[in-house]
Amino acid sequence: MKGNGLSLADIDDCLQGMFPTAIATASADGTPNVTYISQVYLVDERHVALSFQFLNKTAENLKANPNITALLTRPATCDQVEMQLRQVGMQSDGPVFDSMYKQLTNIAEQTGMSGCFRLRGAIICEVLDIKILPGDGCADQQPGGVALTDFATFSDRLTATETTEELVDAVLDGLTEELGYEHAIFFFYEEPTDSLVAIGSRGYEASGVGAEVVLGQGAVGRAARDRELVQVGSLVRDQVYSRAVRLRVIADGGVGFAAEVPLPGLKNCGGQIAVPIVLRQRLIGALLVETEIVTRFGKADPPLLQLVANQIAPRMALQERSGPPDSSRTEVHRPDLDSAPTVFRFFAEDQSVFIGDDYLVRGVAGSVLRVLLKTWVGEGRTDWSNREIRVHPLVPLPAHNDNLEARLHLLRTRLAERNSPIQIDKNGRGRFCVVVRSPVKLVEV
Amino acid sequence: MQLDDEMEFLKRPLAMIVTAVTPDGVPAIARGYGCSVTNDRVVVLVAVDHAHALTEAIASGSQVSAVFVELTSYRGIQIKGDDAFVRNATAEELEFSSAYRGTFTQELALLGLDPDKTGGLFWAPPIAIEYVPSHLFDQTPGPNAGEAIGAGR
Repeated sequence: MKGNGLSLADIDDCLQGMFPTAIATASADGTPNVTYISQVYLVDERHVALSFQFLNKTAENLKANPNITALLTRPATCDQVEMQLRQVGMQSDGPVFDSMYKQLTNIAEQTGMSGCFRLRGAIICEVLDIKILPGDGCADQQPGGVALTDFATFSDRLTATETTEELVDAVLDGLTEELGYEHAIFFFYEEPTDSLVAIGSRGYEASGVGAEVVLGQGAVGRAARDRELVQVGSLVRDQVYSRAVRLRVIADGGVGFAAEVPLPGLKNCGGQIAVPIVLRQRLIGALLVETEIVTRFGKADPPLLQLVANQIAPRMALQERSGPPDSSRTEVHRPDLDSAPTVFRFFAEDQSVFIGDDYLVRGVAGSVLRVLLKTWVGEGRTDWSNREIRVHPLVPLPAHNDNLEARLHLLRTRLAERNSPIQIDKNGRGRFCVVVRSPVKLVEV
Repeated sequence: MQLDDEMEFLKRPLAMIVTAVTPDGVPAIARGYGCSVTNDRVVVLVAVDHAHALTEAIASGSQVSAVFVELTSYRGIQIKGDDAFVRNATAEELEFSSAYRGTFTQELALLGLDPDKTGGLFWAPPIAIEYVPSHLFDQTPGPNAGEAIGAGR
């Protein structure tokens, strides 16, 4: 590489896809052409790949003249970077193409445009020169990373927890207080429905607890499905880009799944990072952090969140299986028998439970509630151990990583949020009790 | 050339990129900071410190092409032309460029960009690239990207 000695490593913040890149080419007779592309992909220390989607004129020009000049933008400062490139190849398969295709699919899936974004090729270019143009951008090139001491404090929070419920709170509080993420959602994996269920959040108007995300849907669904971190840039920008394409393409699009509990999310989302929580190749859950500020996430955030997820995974598995339950403490809760019973409807098809016509919960949590209601109505029983639930024939828990504590936490939170006549209280380690405030009736559909 | 249908669009706070080609076939590129377009003439303001290669390419007789994109809709057009030259910006154009900075910053804010962090996009002083438009192309992403608009009008 000639010029001032800058390398791709010096400007790799420009390659995160936050800003579109302008590329200029020339035809055989010297006519210039300029267009925007969505991806500049780092291939190795001397090569990048450009996404070839709609670049009809660019492709034609490159057959006659391989020179390309690209104008990129540094996300943290908006300083501009000029790159001189020379096309050395075009790939329509292989690892580089596949990675670019995946990034592009991320944008398409994120904006309900699956199938409309076609990657026709990866234009492989040798980097001849890199120049950072003078500008009055801010001096700080990258958002500051998190101090190791803050991460240690975060880690201490996790270590101090004894239950999944405490762990969820510790993770979310730590993400916002020590690690500086303003918007975060914690999901656990619901194996029977192959979906993620929100179990807690910070930084949103509504908690969204109980909201479901099908694997593959959105950044967090894709992170969980593929067992790898997914980072997406400004959803506003991606949505605008998709809308422009949508207007030009006949396609049905659409994400196709409407969760009964709306997932909290930022209206003006400037970036998302989703990281799966995985232990020994088994999916346990996922974290999603969001920001409104386009330039908020830097290079340090993906590895930091990976560390966070790696800290959570063994602890969550450990707490799900920890120690014998405390001895039973029987408390009798007498409901007010004068009022009319509240009807809980259980639908066997998806194990969902509705209070009247309002959706409450489904899946394993729905089955647990059915058992609790059925047993209370039949036997007046209120005290339970997690172990009894775990082996109950009507509760279809997966054999490994059953996330029972997480599911109970979800159920407890949903019942509390809905001010249900039946509530769940913790009753010592590995135990809980059912509190019935007024008569309830279970209808199985 | 007939550009009447594009005039309203070109008054919006658009992202602009100007290019020309050096005698040895290397494209030169610079960001625009405001434009003024009539059927006979396109003027785009560029930062002098960013446009050394571009101005040299134009001085050597290159054709010019400029793309204008609305970031909040991705609608875009490209205007190609000839007889290009570089000149100092007039007082009126400097004033216009200054106003453009304000409106374009607001446009970027709609996309989530902190107005305090977009300084790098703007670099004074601007100079003017002026050329005669000859061809107009659709630049909105999609299958029609790159197609000529209004051929023969």
